[in-house]
Amino acid sequence: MSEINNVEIERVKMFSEKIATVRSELAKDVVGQKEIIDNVIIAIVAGGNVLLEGVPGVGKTRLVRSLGRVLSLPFSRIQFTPDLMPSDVTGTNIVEKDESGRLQTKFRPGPIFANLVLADEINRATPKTQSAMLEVMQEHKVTVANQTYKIDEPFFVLATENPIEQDGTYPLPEAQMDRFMFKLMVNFPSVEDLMDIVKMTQVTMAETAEGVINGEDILAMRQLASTVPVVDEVLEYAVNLVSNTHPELNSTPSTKKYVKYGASPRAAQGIITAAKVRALMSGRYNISYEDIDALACPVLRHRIKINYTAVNDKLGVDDVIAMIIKETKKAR
Amino acid sequence: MSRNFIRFKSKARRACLIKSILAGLSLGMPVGAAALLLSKYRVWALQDLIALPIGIAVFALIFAFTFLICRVSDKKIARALDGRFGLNERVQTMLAYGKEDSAILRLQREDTEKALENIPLKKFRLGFIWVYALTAIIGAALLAAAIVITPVEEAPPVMPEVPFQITEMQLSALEELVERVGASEMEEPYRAGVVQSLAVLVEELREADTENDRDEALQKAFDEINTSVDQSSTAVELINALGASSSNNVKAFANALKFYEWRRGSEWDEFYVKISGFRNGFRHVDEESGASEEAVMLTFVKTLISTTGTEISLALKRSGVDSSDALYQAILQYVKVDREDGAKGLSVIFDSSEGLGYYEIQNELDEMFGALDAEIFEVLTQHKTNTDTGENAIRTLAALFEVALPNFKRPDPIRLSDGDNTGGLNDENGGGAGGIGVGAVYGSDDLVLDYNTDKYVEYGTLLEQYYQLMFGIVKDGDYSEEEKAQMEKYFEILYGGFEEEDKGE
Repeated sequence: MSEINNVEIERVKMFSEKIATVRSELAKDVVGQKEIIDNVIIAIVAGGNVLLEGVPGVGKTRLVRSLGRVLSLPFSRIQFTPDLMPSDVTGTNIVEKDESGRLQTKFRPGPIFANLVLADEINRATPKTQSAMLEVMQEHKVTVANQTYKIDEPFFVLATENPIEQDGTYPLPEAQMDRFMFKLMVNFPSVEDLMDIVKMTQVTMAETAEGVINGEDILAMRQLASTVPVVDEVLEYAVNLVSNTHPELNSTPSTKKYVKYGASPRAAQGIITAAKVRALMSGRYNISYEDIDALACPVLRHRIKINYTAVNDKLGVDDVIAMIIKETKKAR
Repeated sequence: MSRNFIRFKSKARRACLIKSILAGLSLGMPVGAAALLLSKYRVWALQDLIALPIGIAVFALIFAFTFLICRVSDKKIARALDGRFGLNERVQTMLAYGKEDSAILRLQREDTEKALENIPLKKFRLGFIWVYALTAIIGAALLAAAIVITPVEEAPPVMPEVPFQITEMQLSALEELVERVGASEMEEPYRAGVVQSLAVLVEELREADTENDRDEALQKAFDEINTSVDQSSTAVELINALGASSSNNVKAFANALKFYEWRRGSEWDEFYVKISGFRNGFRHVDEESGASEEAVMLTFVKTLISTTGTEISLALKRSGVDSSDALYQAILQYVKVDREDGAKGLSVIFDSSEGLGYYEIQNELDEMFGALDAEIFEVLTQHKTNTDTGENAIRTLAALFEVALPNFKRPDPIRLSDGDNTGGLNDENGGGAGGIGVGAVYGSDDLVLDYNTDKYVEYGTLLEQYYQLMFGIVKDGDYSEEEKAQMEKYFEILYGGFEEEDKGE
């Protein structure tokens, strides 16, 4: 028993080291964006998906590609366009001749069959195609012609939205937005980071990051993260935070003033699951209030709808979330 | 439980206890001080010490309340540690999962222990103890002030002088009082003294123009009259009055009173034991017992003496003299104890060569003691007249000028003890002597001239010789001429021969 525990103890201790290795490896290909990288890693380990919003050219594709290499996971990219069909995503049955020349149908998997999928500009696809994508994200399997095909674990989708172009786009409905654990805002790099990017890409555009962990490691880390303890007070805080996003409930004044509708229970699950990973990444073995606060915006910003009053007051969703956090803390 | 956590927990509990004590003192002492001040300034009719139980009760109440409020649970301590030292809920998690075990929980506990170890205990402060300490100091200062404060007695208001002018009615009444006292039966020179005091008072009151002057003059008169009355009621004066009686027996009685010189335990007590033994030898003799005539006679003497003693007691009571009066006590002493010494009168009886019979003896004894009662009554009545005249004069003055009556305190007599009785006299010499009692003093160490030897001997010694002679006579049943002469001489000395100048009487 003690021997097994020692192995487990070592495994737990190795968690943050592995994450540090992943970070340092990614930094070879992706300049800056530390918070984005950390949150993406958290989402992957926690078993969630991420929605990235950012202008073109900020390194979203490069990030996912490097991530795939570092994690030693097959990677695929799906560029969503208005004419993309669901079968273009999931795959389809095709008719082909076998060796004997007989016609037979064979399933050709779509680009979704990868461990890491970059769903670029998902808001450009039609709702039907979006639904097909999101269904796979939810269930980790594809059903074509009554045949079900499982996606290998770990399965992670990083979807992007172009915030600039509004014409010809189909914004994701709230119910589907809810399937993403995080929504991360990729900002334009700082001057220093841009300088580094330019310098680096002038030398080479090649991506040099190498694999340091694999899918099994990620699954093991996921299982380990699920055992991180959380005290009732912190859990209660996370639950209250999510609950306070609903104006129809006994929530905070900011919520009542600025929020149209609040986050689903999936948000509370997402916060706690992600907080466990974040705690381990920080070298701690328990969740703290700090973890909840740090993850509140990524988890809640795509799940809350602010009203016109907030817009009128020039408040973004992140501003409203910050107010809700402050007011929830007061009551703690 | 974590060793480091226990460190902080112990400190938290100590802090709670200290805060509770200080809070209790902060309120208990001021409340006690307030109660003390209320008592000192007579706002309520309670003793000063009431402040103590009140203060203690308030202390106990506040202590309990504060302790309940500030007592710390493990959760509270954990929350405080996590919050103050940025431990990211490590301690709370450790506490919550204390009973569980897993790899990650072990690491979590180790991580927490390491974090706690790095925190110095002194940095962990719970609550503003210094505030409580400050309020307790203030409370102590208030209590100290309350103890030290002494209410200043207000000086009595200075009464303005009230004018006084004696009225004609008062003057007339005063002059009438002077005449009345002058015509009273009060003995001289006391009567003259009282009259003089009253005359001086009249003059002083004529000149008095304020009530203060009046009161001073009256007080002076009261004091002088009281002094006169006290002097008139001394035992010496009255005993001398008795001693001036023509009756030898009354003289003897007075002399016996003289020897009652308020002394105790003289050698006379020992002599009295012998006399009492002599007397008790005939205690049970009666007429029909066939005892000798002398024995019977002695019994009768004893009976008559007892009867006389009763009559004297009645005389005392009739006189109305206060039972605390010195003379009353002196006479009572004689009645209760000295009267048993009736053997002094036996010499008269035995001196008779005519062979007195029972009735003759009875008559002799009647004559011997019979006048005593009347004499004593007369003396006592005079004594009462002196006292009443003086005190009535004072009462009249007090009523006339509407002032307070002074105390009529007379000289304290010396009390007789309860042991002074004549029944069952007991004596350690076994002589059957009765209770001389404490204070039964017989005779004195005065020197008297012994005619037989022409030498001065102590009175007690002479008396002993007299009784020895008498005892011998009674025992033998006869006496010689020489013995008779000796008896007569002794009698003269004992009952009249105290001063050398009385030698020839």
